[in-house]
Amino acid sequence: MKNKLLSLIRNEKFYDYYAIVKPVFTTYMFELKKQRIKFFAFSLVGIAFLFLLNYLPYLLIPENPLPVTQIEFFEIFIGLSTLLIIFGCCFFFAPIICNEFGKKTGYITFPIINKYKLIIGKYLGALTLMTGVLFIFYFSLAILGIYYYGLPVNIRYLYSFGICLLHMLAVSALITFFSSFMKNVNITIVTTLLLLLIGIGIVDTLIILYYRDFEPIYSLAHNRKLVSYIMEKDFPTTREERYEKIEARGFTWYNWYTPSIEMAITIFLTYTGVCLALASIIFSRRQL
Amino acid sequence: MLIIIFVSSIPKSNAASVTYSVALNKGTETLIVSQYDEVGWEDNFDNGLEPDDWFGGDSDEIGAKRKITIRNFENYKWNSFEVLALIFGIYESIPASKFVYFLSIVNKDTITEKYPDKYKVWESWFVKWEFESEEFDEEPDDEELLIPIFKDPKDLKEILDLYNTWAVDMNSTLLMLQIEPFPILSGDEFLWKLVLDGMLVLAQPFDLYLEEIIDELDCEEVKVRKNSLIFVKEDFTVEVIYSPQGTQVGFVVYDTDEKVIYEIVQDNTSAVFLISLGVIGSILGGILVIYIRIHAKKRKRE
Repeated sequence: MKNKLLSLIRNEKFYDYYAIVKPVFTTYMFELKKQRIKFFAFSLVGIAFLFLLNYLPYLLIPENPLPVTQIEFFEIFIGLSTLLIIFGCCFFFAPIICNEFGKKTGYITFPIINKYKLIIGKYLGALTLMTGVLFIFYFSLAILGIYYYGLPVNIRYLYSFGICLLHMLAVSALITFFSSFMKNVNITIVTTLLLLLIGIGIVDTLIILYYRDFEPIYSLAHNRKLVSYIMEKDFPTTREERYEKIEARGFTWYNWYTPSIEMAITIFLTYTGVCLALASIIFSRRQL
Repeated sequence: MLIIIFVSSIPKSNAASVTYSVALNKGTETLIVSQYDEVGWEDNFDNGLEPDDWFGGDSDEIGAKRKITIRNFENYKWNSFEVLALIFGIYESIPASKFVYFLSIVNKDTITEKYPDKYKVWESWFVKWEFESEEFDEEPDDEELLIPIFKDPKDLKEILDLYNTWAVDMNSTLLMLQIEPFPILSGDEFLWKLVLDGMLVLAQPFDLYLEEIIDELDCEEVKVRKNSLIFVKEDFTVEVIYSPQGTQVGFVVYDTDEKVIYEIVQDNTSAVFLISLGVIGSILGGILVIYIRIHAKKRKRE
């Protein structure tokens, strides 16, 4: 066994791969340790949300009716994951690039460790922690679902988790993109929070008002509706089933329930690819 | 002597009436058919009766499950119409061809005008899946099952008298319409109907609640044993077991030799799963705490 390992290490090709992966792995582990307090904090916040909004109201108010089925129960409370993703991603991913420039530590580290490997390691570390936060949230909600409705947990709940992870990936890439050109962490956090919570909503509303039957497929706010809607038993298969036409005071607009599954996945992956590509281009050209 | 005369002249005060409280918790209870001796059942019930005649669905198959979710409960006052329609199911046996006419003569206005009494209840809202040998459908079989828990067990006698009075009143009209008349029920028959329909949910303390119901309804075939009702029929005995929440969670049929020929019990799979998860989580949490403390001590030494 020892001889096998030695021969493997002496193998030049293996050593090349090892030389590439080790700095990324070291940075990844360092990032996990560095951000562990945020991980515990957001995990506790997620569990607290569920306890305060999902358990106590049913326990303390006998008249407050439980939803009819387990899936309806999940659909009502899965929206909390959106807030967790927005705030969590802002705090985990905002410091990834701009921290190095803000604290002027980049010029010390980069000659020893390749700057791209550093950022990849940090990004993967933050991604792992954020995935952990979402896993704990979904797991806790599933436990509550079993407590109220018994086994088994509907398989569409797992689909929702998958879409939630894709949503998180897209948001994390967007925030990393902002981090690549912003000066410091606080400005990055505030800007991205305002954009994700308010900015996107305003843009969507204006576009829907001007182009009434246009589906805002570009919008993260529209695509994240799939996280809860994918749990519907009869998921709408045609475009006409995915919106509701509302007429009031001589004005007509379309209320979109959900994007299609294929479109949402494509948009999330596109956001991820484009934002990370732009972030790496800006980062590579950024001067200290 | 004067003291004895004085004490005996004091009127005896009534014993304090029991205050009942509802014990329901929101959540789901699953029942499972754990035993069904088909041969023993057929020997005992030679009239062709089968378990699914009592409980519907696949209740004649071992392993079949029924699920009930308690959604909420609140204080309410039921009127006579709600009692007759929801507990006695007066509309269920009316044929479709005569339903509209029946509704015109038997409706909320006509019933509440003639029988204006109201009954204080805890109105509990359930969702029900009938006995199913395969996996449960996503949609329940009954989304709006309302079960009243009477705050005063004496009201059960009053509603039985209400039904019998109404049935006597109505039966002559039904016979003219060639509709089958409603049966007049005794206390035993009414309690048996409530149990089979799953409409008897208890208030705490359960044993006193059951005793009072049996006394008020003058039941002769029924006795109480802790949280169970025992029905002693001619050819069989039935034990109905109630959970700590007052819901029916067990149903055992004994033949004349006191051998179990049919049994429904509570399925605790979900509870066992959650408890196991809790135990595993606590063990892992304990290991983590110990590891962190050892790690911290090592760091201190360094």
